Amino acid sequence: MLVVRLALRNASRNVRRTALTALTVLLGTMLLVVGMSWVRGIFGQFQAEAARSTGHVRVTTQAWAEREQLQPLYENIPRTAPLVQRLERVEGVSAVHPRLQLGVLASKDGGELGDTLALVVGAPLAYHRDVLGLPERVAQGAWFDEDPQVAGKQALVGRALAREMALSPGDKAIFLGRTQDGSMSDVAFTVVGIVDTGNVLYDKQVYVDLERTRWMADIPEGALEVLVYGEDYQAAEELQAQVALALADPGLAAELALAPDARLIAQAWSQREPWASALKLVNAIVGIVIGCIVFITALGVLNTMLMSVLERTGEIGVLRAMGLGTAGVLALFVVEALVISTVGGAVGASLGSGLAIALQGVGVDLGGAASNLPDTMPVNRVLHPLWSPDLAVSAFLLGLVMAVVGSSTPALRATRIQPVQAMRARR
Amino acid sequence: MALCTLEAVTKDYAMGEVRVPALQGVSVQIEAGEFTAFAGPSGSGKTTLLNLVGLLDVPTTGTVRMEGQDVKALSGHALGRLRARRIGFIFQSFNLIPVLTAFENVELALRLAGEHGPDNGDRVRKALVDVGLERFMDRRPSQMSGGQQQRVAIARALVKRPALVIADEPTANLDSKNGEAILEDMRRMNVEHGATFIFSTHDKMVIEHASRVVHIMDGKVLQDERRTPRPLPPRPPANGTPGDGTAA
Repeated sequence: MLVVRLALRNASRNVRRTALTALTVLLGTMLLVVGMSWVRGIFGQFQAEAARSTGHVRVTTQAWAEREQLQPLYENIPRTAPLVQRLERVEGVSAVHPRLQLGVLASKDGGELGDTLALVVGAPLAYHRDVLGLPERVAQGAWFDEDPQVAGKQALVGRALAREMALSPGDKAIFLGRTQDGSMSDVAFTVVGIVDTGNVLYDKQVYVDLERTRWMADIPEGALEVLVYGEDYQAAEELQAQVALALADPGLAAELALAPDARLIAQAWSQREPWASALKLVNAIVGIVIGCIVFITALGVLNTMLMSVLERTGEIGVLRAMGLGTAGVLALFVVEALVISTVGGAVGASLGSGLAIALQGVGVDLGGAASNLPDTMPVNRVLHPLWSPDLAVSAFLLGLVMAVVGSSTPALRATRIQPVQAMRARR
Repeated sequence: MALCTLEAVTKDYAMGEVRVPALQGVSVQIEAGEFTAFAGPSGSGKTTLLNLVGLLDVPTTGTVRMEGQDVKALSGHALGRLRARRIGFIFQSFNLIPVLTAFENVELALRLAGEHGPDNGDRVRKALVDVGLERFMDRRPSQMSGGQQQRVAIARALVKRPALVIADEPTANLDSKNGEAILEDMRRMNVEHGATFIFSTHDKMVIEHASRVVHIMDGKVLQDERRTPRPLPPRPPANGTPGDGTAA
């Protein structure tokens, strides 16, 4: 109690220096809250979109997964219906959607075959509706017709692609692709609507019914991927274990008409590239950024506390002469730094939280810069930080860590002051 | 048994690569109840001697015994505990803790001595009353004169009833009137409470109060003189305002 009382009094001793220490911690804590909110917001959105668009768990043939970039159509799952039925019965699975994505050359009907590359996403309309939420994103035109025959010949086109091809609802578009054996295959679609998803990747795609892409790729009952969804994308790896168990049934290969050497694999979104690498990279970057902020702040605390130690050498000598031990001296400075940092950290965490919450509501529109992002990244055009109370608490606690780290060197230096310094102390 | 004994003590200081001898084979024995002055000019080694007697420093060679115990065998922690419980300090520059009040400064000594009894408050108040500071208990050092601060330092040194009080030129930063008053306070504590005082000085007026004067010159004891101190005047009235002036 004596040390705490002394530390409290010392904290109010040199107002300017105390304010400087508190301000250092305040800025560090505020930066942590805002920075971590942004990382969580951006990468959280990135993760959620990745999991949403590619399935919490994805089942493919191993051969296709290994050469995914080349899109080898012949490495498909020939019959997906039995697989979907089985996976729907797996505990924790809430939805299963086969998907057949095809890279095509797109052109507007009546025009010349251009060089517009597009990705046609063929999936059950339930996938487009429930997973991608496209009905709410239709900016022009309408959702698919209720008649499956009509809907099968319709396409929803992403806003960016529609603008590039000057497509409007009612226009016809020709997509030139290929079948699984490599033959050219072209299909005409009527543009039923233009979707504005707010997402760079989705706005460059075409959304059609699975049956039409099956016909186009000549995979009448199959697909390249079967996407499995659970309740929480963060628990995808647990779900993957369940799905992998279901795939282990030896009779399944025959049921799906798989080639003798073909093998199915299930991968959680977090286990697939580029997400797996990105996760590691982001965690490393977050660690480095937090480390830098803690280091710089601790350096600021160290600087001001060192000045205190130098200024109070004689006084510490007196306390040592009177019997205060090294632990007491150490505690004197660490507690003082903690007292100042508690105030600085609390204010910094509050200000940072206020700023993060304000930005969370407004967001930052990437505008034209978003179009330069890679086509494979499902990044939203408007980015939002994601604040939560635990972030503020973590930043506040880190502020205290900064205080302890920053004050430990000056405090250790203070413990080396000998009692005999008391006799030399002069004012 | 002597309170404190120094036997053939030497102390060297390093000045760069040169070793400077501050004390050269000093032997002194301090008995309980003495009011001893270490007298000598600046640089004679009296403060070094005081540091060794006060267990603030250790000798280069020789033996220092406190109440019969060889302090060389004690750890830094044990020395700290011994200082906290058995030795009080009065410094030339008062060296009160500026963020604590007079009361808290005195209380600090009790707490560091490990005394946390319910009568601590009463003991602190009595110590401050004894030095005439009953009306200044809540003041911080910056709100007091030099004489008042030195009285707080005396109360701080004596509140734990130490075996020995070390005072390093206690009147050097005070004017003659306040210096005289401080010395009389210390004498009274010596006479009335039996506290043993050792102080360093080169001031003749201070030496007149000592019952024993150890003259130091060039790190050696020149003369160890027992003498009759100047008589103590009657205690001033309790409602006086002591130590209003300072030369500090």
